Amino acid sequence: MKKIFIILCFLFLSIELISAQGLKENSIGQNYYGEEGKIIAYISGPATMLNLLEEDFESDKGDVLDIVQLGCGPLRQRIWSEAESGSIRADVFWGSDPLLYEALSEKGLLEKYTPKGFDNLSNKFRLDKPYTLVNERYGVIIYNKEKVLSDITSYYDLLNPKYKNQIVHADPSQSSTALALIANLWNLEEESGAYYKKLVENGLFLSKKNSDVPSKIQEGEFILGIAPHDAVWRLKKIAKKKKYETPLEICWPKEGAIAIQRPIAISKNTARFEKNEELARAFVDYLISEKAQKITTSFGFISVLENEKLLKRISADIRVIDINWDDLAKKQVEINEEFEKLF
Amino acid sequence: MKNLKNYFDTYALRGALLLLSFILILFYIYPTVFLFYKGIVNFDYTISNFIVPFINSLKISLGVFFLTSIIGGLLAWIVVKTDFPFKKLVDNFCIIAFAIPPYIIALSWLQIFKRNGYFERFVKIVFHIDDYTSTPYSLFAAIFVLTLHLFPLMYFSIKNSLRNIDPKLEQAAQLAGADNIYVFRKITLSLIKPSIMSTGIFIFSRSLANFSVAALLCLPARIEVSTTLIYSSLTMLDTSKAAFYSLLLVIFSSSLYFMQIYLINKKKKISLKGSIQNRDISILNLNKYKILVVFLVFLFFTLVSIIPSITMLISSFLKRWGLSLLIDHLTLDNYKEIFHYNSKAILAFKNSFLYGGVAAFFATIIALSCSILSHYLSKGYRIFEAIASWPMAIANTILAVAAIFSFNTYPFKFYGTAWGLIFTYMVLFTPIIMNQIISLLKSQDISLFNAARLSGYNKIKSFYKVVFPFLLPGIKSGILVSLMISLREIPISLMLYSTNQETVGVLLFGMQSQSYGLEMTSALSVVIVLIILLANYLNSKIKRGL
Repeated sequence: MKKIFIILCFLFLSIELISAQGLKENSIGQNYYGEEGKIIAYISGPATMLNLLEEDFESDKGDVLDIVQLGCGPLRQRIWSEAESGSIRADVFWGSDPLLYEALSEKGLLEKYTPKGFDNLSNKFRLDKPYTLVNERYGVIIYNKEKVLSDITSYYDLLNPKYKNQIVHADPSQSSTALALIANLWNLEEESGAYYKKLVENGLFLSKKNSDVPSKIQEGEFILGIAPHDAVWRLKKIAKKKKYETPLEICWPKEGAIAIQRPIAISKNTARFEKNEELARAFVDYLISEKAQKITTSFGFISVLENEKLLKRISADIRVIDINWDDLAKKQVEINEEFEKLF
Repeated sequence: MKNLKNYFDTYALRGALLLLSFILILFYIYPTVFLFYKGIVNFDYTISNFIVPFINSLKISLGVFFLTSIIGGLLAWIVVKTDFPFKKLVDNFCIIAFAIPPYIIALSWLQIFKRNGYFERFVKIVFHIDDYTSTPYSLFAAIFVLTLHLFPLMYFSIKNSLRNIDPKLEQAAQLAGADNIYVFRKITLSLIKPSIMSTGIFIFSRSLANFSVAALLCLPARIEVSTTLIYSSLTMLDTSKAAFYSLLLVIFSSSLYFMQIYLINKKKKISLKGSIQNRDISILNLNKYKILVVFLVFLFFTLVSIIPSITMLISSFLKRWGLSLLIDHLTLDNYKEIFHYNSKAILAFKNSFLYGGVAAFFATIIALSCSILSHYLSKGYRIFEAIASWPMAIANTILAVAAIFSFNTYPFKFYGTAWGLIFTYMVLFTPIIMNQIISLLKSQDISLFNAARLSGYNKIKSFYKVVFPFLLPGIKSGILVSLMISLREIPISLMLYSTNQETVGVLLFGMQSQSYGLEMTSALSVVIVLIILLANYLNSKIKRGL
């Protein structure tokens, strides 16, 4: 029995030794997973954009940023799993939509920080929340201009029987951004959910991700869909670069495009090295700087700055529907379940 | 048997048992129990939402099991038991079929059968049916695609078993007047049943745990399966619900495992040839049917392997998938992009091989230990096998979430290090390698080991000379399969990787995020398949050199 105990202790210590490799603790012995002078950022977004941002940020600060690139879904799952396991590893995380940040905020896991340059943000982006809005994108109608049979101006055009079985939308059970889009059109008609009920009757197809919507329309599988606009801009840019025609077009619906913001937040960790705390804050400051905003807008995202030059891609006449994220956070499960019942 | 037991009943055995128990507890039980505890404590136990998706999952798994058994069994029989001339080619085709990731097969399926896909274009051009539209999304589509991906596992497993059947048994039956069909039914099928059952259970469970194919082909048809339900729970930030549903899947899969043992034990043991060396397998002469069989085999591979591969190859040269096949629309840029992408492609391939290789090595030791203990020592050790086989019923995303839960906190902080990835891969690979070993062990007779002992070999040498060569093909194919998986695995890599730990799966995901389409995914898949084939070729070259 004594031998077994000794062997077990030896094994335990050996595993502990291996597991401690590469991880550091600060001087007061609290858990912090980064090394001093280097922060970890979980980010969703196009890799080229992230590379440009990393290079630009590090040109000033040195090699201080480790980016872990994720999709919106994996970013939500990874952050949430880490939070539930007791410690978010990332110093900062940027991407997805405010629903995740609202949930983390409710658990008190985000650090309240007002970034430098906060006053340069447009009014609607200056939130009293423990996260900062970096960009906005718009849920719009995307269509194949070579295949549409009439002018597309309204969400109601998707109910046209001519487009039966030709409409695509991301699945809200797989994408929280799709859920946000649905939640905002849920009350488009007097009866809740009536618009989507009619869409389903017109053969609505659900794709796994929002980015599948423009891809499937471009490839000729569908004619119209509802999804964030930024992917269309990137697809057009690629088409231009590779010299081929893309049939994709965006319609800014007269009822309004649905605004979805991409926030950034610093995780709350009192054990973080002071230097890393400064870097995390500097990264948030950087992302709302004009320099970073220029990079992100060149990838189709909308700037949060009150700056005419950066906003020139979007017409001032566009009507925008703003989402009440607090409200949506409370109703998301209910709306998802109601939506499921339509099929 | 007694000699063997005596030998193992030493301190060496106790030490090994302790180590194995510790590893199983740490990497297999602790993460899953940690996660399931969350599911049990926090969830309200409503299973009504789970029933329909679960039944759909069962339909897929049963369908895949049935089809892979027929296809894999038939091919293995043709290759081992007949004078079919292109045996090596069939092996290579099977390796290619398994090397292509299932979601790539699913995407190829979509490229061919979706609206505006190649098949629709073909029908419109050839038959002038302008209003023809095809629907590629269905339960059957998922079954078919998973079958195309998984049948090689059944093929290699049954092939190994068939090669190890003592031909004297079949010859004796024939001498006693039995015809070929009777011999096949009563002798051959009885002997390969353990392989079919163990690989079948594995295939059944992996189909149950598959997410990517079901999400791509079933969800659009509003057919929800258990894994898509679990994923949507995670998307809704409800980890407890996801954990609870995963627990139900694992309970079901474990029941299957024990049922499999029960069924196999009911069968009377029949002696098999102990070594693959110097075998003298009776070969059926196909005679006049040879050309027909060759034609049918290659027609099959043309449909399931060559056409999807060519589709993938063509797509990899397109500027954008969906463009017509004109010279102007072709480019080499997709391949250039892969190796210029952040200059991380080489690192990603290196990491995938390194992490996959180390994980496969550990998994082999664990699988071998569990299998040998239960086979040679005591049936009570089957609990080890059962524990190590749990992960096969768990979706990769859940394995990753379990790893985060258990290894992000004290006392085992592997999360964020390369070890976190390696150990999770190890957990994923163990049932794969174990499945290969068990199917061979179950068709081996322990008296061969004892005979070696009587011939003067000591126990270790007897194991090395008699048992190990018998298991080697299974171990090799298990490691090969594991390496293939590490070259394309996305959910675990993406959830657990950190800086400079990018794998091919992460690279693939990064490319998708660039708004690249199917053309870039196809290009990377072509590179992956070529690397796997090259590795396989080098492996066989080295073996010949030795």
